[in-house]
Amino acid sequence: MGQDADLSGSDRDPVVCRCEAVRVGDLLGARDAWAIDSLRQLKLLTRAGMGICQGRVCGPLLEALARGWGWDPTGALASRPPARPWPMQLARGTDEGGRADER
Amino acid sequence: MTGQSPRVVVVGAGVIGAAITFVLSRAGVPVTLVDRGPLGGGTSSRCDGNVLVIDKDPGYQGALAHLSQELLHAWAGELGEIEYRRPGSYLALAGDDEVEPARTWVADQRRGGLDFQYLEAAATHRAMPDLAADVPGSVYSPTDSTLNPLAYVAALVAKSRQRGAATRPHSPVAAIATSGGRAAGVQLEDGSTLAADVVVVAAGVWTPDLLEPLGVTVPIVPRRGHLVVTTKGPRFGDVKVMEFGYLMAKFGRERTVPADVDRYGVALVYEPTRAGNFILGSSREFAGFDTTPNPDVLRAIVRRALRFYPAMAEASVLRGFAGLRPWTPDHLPVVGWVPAVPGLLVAAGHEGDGIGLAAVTGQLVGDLIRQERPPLPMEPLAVDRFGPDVLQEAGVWDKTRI
Ligand SMILES: Cc1cc2nc3c(=O)[nH]c(=O)nc-3n(C[C@H](O)[C@H](O)[C@H](O)COP(=O)(O)OP(=O)(O)OC[C@H]3O[C@@H](n4cnc5c(N)ncnc54)[C@H](O)[C@@H]3O)c2cc1C
Ligand code: FES
Repeated sequence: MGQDADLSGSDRDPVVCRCEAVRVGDLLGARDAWAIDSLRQLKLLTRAGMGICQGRVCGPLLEALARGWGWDPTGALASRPPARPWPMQLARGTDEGGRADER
Repeated sequence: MTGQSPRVVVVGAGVIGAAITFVLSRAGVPVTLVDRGPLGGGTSSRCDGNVLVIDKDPGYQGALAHLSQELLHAWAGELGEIEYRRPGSYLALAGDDEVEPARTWVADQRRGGLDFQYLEAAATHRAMPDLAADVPGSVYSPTDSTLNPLAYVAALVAKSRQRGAATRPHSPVAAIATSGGRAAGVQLEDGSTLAADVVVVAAGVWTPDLLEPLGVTVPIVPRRGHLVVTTKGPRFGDVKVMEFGYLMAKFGRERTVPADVDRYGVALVYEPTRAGNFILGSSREFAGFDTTPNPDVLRAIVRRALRFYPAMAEASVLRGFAGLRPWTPDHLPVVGWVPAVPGLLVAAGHEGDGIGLAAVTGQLVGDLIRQERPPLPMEPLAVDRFGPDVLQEAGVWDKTRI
């Protein structure tokens, strides 16, 4: 803890992910409370990197932190399709496909 | 107690292995939880967090699920921040043809002792004002709860460690070690062995890989499911809503729905999250072990949601992902001793109910190991309950693995 603890809960605690309002202190808290040992799990638990930027902005910082803790961040933030948010109305009209009982 | 307790190794740190480890460590049994990846990295972090009885067949399945809900409710305080809440759940009907089956479903469940209610149109739209106006009714189950599945796994593991359980993430198990025909521990891929008196295989869809070399066949097959996650924005009510047709999709019964909905086994699941967005499900396919999201399935899920929530056209999809449900032919998990290999236990095959059934599974396995009387008969879950025809058929599906 020591050095880490100085960061949490203060204005000096840097924001890692703006859209989910996750600070370094939140990451450390979750990491220690749950004995997390991978970036993917930490991301899923704190939501850091899961907001609208999908890790494009915050990803490098998250990965640097993970490396600092001795974790291999490879693939943890791999973005899943769709790459950018899309309005649900786009799903309308494509392949309504008829009714299964009519096939 | 510790002195005379068997040493236990649990393979698989998904929600099932974590719950078993939690129960054992609480009882003072020395236990080591092993996973080839991080804790909770399998299906248990690619799923929703519903703890339901509303979608269980009346009878044994319903009783199992209800017992698990009550156990979880008792554990929740101790587990800390796992986003546990108990808002109940609803099944919305897609058309008048579902009214009679839904009323029957409610009557059967009530006979089984569960407090289900049938809601007429007016009550339905009062409870869910955002639903499409033509939804003719709904079913309500008051005890259904929800949580964050990965936080649940993490909390179970953290509590277990506090009580002395050992955890070995990033340690692939190469084989189950035997000695004189008995389970003797596990052999790790790095060549080392973890000795144990009892080995519990809780490896989800990968369970058959560990049992086959011992000549033990369990018909657990991956049944892929997709989920859609939205951006923060408008929400469409605070209660979780599924469609009645979900039951048909789940149990493989016939439905009258659009072709792509049928092809991918799509049924509405609407789940508002604490984070201010919502999750949409669901799909059910036998597609091997591939978890790459299929955009066609994601679109079919969104279209199905629009049928029930037309105003959702305004919402936006952030991402989608897929996970592998450990399916069994009779939709019940496999929980019990392997008759042919003393000291070997299996706890896997929870299909789409593993989060909900984890608590009762932990309890049952704990009772078996400690030779206590389980709260429910365990024959319906027995490892050797499947006939040769079922095993053969499941083997054929298994060949679709990629
Ligand atoms: C889209 C979707 C939605 C779902 N929604 C819900 C829901 O709302 N409610 C609900 O109750 N259920 C739901 N489920 C089902 C639930 O997710 C599963 O039933 C549950 O996660 C299974 O847990 P498990 O512990 O058996 O498997 P897993 O979580 O997959 O854990 C198995 C573990 O075994 C490890 N393992 C495998 N082989 C080895 C080896 N050789 N050595 C070491 N470790 C090994 C794996 O790494 C893995 O971590 C859903 C599933 C999906 C796909
Ligand atoms: S800043 Fe939130 S996901 Fe990147």
